[in-house]
Amino acid sequence: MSEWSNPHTDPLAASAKRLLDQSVRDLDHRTTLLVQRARLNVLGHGSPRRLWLRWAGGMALASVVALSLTLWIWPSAGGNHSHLPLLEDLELMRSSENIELSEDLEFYDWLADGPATTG
Amino acid sequence: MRVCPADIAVDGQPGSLCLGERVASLDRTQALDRFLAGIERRAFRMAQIATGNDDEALDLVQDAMLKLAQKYSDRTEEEWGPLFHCILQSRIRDWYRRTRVRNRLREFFHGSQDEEEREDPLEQVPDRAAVAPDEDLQRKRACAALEIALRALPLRQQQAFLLRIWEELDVAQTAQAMGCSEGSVKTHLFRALQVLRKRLGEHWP
Repeated sequence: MSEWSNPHTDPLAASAKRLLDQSVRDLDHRTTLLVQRARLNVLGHGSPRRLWLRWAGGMALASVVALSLTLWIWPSAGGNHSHLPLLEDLELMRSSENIELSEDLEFYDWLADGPATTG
Repeated sequence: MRVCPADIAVDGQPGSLCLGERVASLDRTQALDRFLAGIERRAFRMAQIATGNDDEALDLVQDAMLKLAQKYSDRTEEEWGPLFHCILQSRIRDWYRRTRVRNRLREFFHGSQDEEEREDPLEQVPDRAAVAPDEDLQRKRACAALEIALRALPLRQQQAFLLRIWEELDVAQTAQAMGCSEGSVKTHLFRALQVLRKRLGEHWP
């Protein structure tokens, strides 16, 4: 491995270094500004870039995991689910009273206008 | 006895610092600013080559800067370079591990892509026979080919190449930044040069 003792004399390494240096000089203005802003943020002239986004992302992920676990575990626990408000609403809608109400909707509407029609 | 107001905070520093300490702290911040300004674009390119993503690269560089400013700003300026590279390479390795786990999960849920369907990145490099006489264009193509070949390297080889060849860190500093032995650095660099020579060809650039 003696020929690799000084890799900087390698022509490929020298060309690569030159091209990489040039690529830094060729960075577009927008990217350069973004990198500068990241530095200024770090040195206390602003809030670190996208840290809040990561925090929010973490919270969202935790919420999704918690919800998934809840939905996964709940049905297996068994028991009565009738206390759920949504199911209660469904029960009410399924009841015969509600069907009667919807059938006599015009009657109740007339009743509500009582003073005007009877008066 | 210190003669300074006890509860005035300047530049985020505790209010109990006296004027001399505040001036020293300000000098320190300015020195750190100069140091970071000097390396930020190279660091960004290094992270960009490792991740292939501008946003991720910016995050990694900012994280490394933040860690340096928070933990090591009291070190000597000569120490900042190796320390910064140590932090940045550590961040890149973490990113690489996270991405690998994410990709495995993606493959698990969506099935792996067939080898035949995968596009060889080197095929994106324009044919050498079609190179325009424009020198600038030729240089950009050579740089693009290099970048693609570097991205195709295993992370450790890529790190060894960039730190040793581009940043010109010595073997010991590179080993510290990569968190491995000096022997490993030499092996990774040797293999990286072999692969790059094979992929880029004898006549590159």
